[in-house]
Amino acid sequence: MRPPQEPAPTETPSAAPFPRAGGAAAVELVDVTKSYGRGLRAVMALDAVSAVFPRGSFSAVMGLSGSGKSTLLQMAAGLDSPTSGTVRLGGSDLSGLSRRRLSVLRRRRVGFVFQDLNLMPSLSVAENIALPLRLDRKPVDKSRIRELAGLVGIADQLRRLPHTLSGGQQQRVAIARALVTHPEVVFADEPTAALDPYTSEAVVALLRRAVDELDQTVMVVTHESEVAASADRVLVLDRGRLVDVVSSPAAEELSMTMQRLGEQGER
Amino acid sequence: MRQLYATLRHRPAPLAGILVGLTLTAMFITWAISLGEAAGRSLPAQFLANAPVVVTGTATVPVIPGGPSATTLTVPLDGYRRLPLSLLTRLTAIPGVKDAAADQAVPVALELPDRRIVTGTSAAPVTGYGWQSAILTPFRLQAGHAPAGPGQIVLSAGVAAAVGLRVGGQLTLAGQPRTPFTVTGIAAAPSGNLAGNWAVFFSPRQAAALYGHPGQADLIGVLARPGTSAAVLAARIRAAVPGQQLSVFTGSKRGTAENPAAAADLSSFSDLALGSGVINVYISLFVAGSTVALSVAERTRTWALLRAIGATPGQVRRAVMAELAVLGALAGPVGYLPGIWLASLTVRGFASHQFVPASIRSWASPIEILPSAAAAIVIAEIAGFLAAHRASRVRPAVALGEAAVERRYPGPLRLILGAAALVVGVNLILSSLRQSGSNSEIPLANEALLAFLVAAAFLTPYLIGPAERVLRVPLRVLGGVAGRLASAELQVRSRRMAAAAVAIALPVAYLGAIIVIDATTAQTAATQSSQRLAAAGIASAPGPGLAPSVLPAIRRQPGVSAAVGLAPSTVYLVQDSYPLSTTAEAVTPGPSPPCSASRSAPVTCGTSARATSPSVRAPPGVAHVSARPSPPTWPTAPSTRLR
Repeated sequence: MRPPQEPAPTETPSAAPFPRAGGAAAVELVDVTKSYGRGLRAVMALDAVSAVFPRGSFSAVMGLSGSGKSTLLQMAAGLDSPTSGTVRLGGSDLSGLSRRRLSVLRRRRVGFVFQDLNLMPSLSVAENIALPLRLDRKPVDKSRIRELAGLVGIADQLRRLPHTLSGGQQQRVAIARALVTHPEVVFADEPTAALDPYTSEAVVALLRRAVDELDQTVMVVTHESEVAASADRVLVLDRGRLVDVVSSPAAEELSMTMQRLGEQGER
Repeated sequence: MRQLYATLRHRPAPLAGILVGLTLTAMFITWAISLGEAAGRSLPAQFLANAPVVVTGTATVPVIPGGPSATTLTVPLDGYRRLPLSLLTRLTAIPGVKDAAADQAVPVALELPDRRIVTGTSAAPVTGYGWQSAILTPFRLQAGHAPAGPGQIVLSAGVAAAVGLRVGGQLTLAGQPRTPFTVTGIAAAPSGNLAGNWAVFFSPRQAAALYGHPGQADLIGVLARPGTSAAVLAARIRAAVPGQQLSVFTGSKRGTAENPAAAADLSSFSDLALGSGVINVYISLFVAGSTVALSVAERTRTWALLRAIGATPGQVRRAVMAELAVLGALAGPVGYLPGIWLASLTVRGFASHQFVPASIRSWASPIEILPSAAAAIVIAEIAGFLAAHRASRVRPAVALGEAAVERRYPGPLRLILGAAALVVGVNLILSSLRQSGSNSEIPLANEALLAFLVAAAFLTPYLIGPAERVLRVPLRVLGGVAGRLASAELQVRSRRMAAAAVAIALPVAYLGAIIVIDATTAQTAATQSSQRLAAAGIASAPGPGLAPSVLPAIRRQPGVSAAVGLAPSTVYLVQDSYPLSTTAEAVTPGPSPPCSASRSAPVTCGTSARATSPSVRAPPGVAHVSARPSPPTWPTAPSTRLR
């Protein structure tokens, strides 16, 4: 169900012009471990997690607070480096890349949607969408920006500044920005946490459409069962370990899983 | 960059602080440049306006110190040495010279029939000249006739207006034997020439008598025949009197020869401008550094977002630097106008207290915008270097909403640099305490102050914690909820608070220290001058002081047991082949024991070698001066003359 106040996108963007590296997996994690701190005070955020995110799939990562789901996203997206293990993004190994090389890789092959404060406050909507291209010193095709804006339903807001938009509209701009480079994967970290359920549903539907219509790979980190239920499959994390993988999940099933994890944690 | 332009256009608030800081910086730099420019310009010649070439003695004295080394030292003086009058005829004989006049200037105090005494201002004291030098300006008689004998005086139009006398009026000279002078004429300088406000003229013989240096003159002004240029004439003069120690001035340099004291004032003024400029740049570096650091730290999430979506660390760093360059370039022109306004205010203030000649104007040129903007940019870049580096090191994961926890305490480098500055400051203080009695204490105090400011800037993050603990109770008691919040914020975010504190603390500390130094100096000077003389009474005259013939008259007064003439002076000494100058007091020789009458310093009073030369007493620290039995090697320079 689409909220009536947000206009329906009509245009469909052209097929991705950037060639992608071979292999069926967009992202692959092998025995990824991440610990913070040293010695006795070390905290194991991820404990030997292995997972494959196939091309064109919509995956959700669920877990309670502190389960390591955000850490998993940081490792998979090249925002941070694992303590041990291997991360491959579109077939290339991320380990040993410099901060600079990781930055270049992120802006070319990864799209991000964060919880909030997604946009540069001083740039207009159009400029925010084009930012990854500008950082890469690529020419900006204005018609493509308009196309994407139409797709996410903010075609009328291109000249406005982020702080004049509603939370839902801001997330739509962030999704358009994440899609502008035809990335290998779009990572979304709690993209609906700051939104009301109604708006939240529309944003998730938009991500779903990116997978179905644009053949994008999307990975969403969330603690909301309703959000996770739109995914093809759900990876459940608990205290740094991958405890379950659910295919074609139902929201009720997921919330029961979460409740069980919560009760276990209290004991 | 687009990003910056967009920020300025849409969300200027985070940048406003930096802009204000840099604008103030640019303002003070413009101020210092403008003052330095005003001080650097030469004074136009007034009394000597009509003489294209001016000849004086040198401003240095060659000295051959005793001892094994027989090298000649050149000792710089505050003014120019006097010339022998005999030079006048030799100069007049040089081809191309139309006329030449010797200038024997002596400051005078005019005492009017109503007992009013007119001395002029300290920048433009009423000065007596021989009538022969009136051609140097030139002065022309408006009324009456030239002074032809004793008791005759011609006033310049400005002086006549100030004292309200006309031809036939009577006056006396204060401090001189009470012989009346009759105004025989009023002379006018060309319009706009300031000499018309201070010059009075006597007959040549009377002027020479008042001058008190027989056969000598301050300078000789030379008038050229039509068709002879000043430069050619100056070259001929140098060639015609070889071996003579002369300074020959043309053009704008003549102003320096005419008024060496004003030129010296200007030179100290330019030192002042330079010193304040350096201190301003230094303080603004820290203030700008703090505001930049603050503003960059406030936008941590923005940098993290940029890094996450693919900006390289270099791109973030360049973005910050470019932002600061543009802000600096903007601040330059904005700070320019208040800067020149401040400079002209300063110059006028100094002129009204007669620290600099009134003819000085601070000159504002739009060209000064360039150094002002350049300095603001450079300061912004230096100040922003660390901040930009920090912004580029922000972890991109912070964009995920991860709390960016500040480090509670700064790195070890900061501690080491701060401690080093503290040690330097303490050492400077200690060495200035050891150097008691010399004038080098004040510069040392300034350097120590600067060192302490550096130390404070580096160590402030360490001081915020203790300061918060001291203020915690009053904050919570008086501040209520707001006070509790402030106290908690200080505890957790001490580094950011430190940036704000440095920006405020440095100027306040600097101003406070300057005020205290100033007050201490004034207090000491007052104490010293009250202790200097043990005499029961002091006879003095404004302006030039008392004539030597007044002293016997005072001694003859009933009840006077002893009277001593004193004249402040400067003495040039050679110590270990190293020339140095010191203040000294010239004391008249006479029947009464001169040293028992004053007690300013523990000096052994030697008998002077010749009865006519004053014995010189030196202040502590230069003790061996008066102990020398033979005539010492210091020169009898113009500045030691008794007036």
